[in-house]
Amino acid sequence: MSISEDRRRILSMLAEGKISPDDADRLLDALGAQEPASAQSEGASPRRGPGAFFGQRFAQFGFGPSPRAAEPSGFDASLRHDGPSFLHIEVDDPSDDKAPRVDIRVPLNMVRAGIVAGSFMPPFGTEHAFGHPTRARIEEMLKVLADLKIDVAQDGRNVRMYCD
Amino acid sequence: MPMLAIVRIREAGGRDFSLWLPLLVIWLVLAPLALIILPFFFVLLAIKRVNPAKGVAAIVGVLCALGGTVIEVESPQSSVFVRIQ
Repeated sequence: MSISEDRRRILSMLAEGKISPDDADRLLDALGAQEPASAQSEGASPRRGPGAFFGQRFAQFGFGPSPRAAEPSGFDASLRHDGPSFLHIEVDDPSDDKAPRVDIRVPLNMVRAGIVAGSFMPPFGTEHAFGHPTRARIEEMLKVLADLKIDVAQDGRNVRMYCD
Repeated sequence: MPMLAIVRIREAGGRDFSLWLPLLVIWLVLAPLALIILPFFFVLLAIKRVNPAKGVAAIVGVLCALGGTVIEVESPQSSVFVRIQ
């Protein structure tokens, strides 16, 4: 795929509303940065050519393979840990032995999948909550959750919500 | 996709109930039902102008991400423990 075709593809996605103007600008910048880089690295490493580089940029917006798809072969992506893995919700009442205690652990992968599922079903009302988030934005939202710590105490009952 | 669900229920009277449920059996049982519902789901997505492939992938993604879920509720009368892995 030639560079001009890449630019045409970006502009057509912008015209179709699949990406925002800011995203199109970032893509074009990445494409422009890649053009001298590909000229310099010509003949160096044939593994990651312009197509793979551009494919990674597209993948950030939910199209094509995950940004981790270009990792070296043999690398076990499941061993990577880029932030919290679980959302914990705990409810207890230390002052009352008869009060129930609740402990729920939800994988953040499910939160991620739920956000993606909601973004594909805007007629059910979620477009007002999430819009049409790109994969990069979803990851940003989940990274912010790493600092999430909610601790509410009322009438002796504690409610805690945190990620780890 | 999660393959095992562990359910443990304990009651104050000493009655314990533990169940190790292979989810593969449940997926196989639900697969024919899913195939029956799938055309209606596709029609609904087409009406709402949602890419059916992405819709199915999103639902499968949610199911696959269930692994690692733990729900534990304890009270003096009983306790319930559910783990999906």
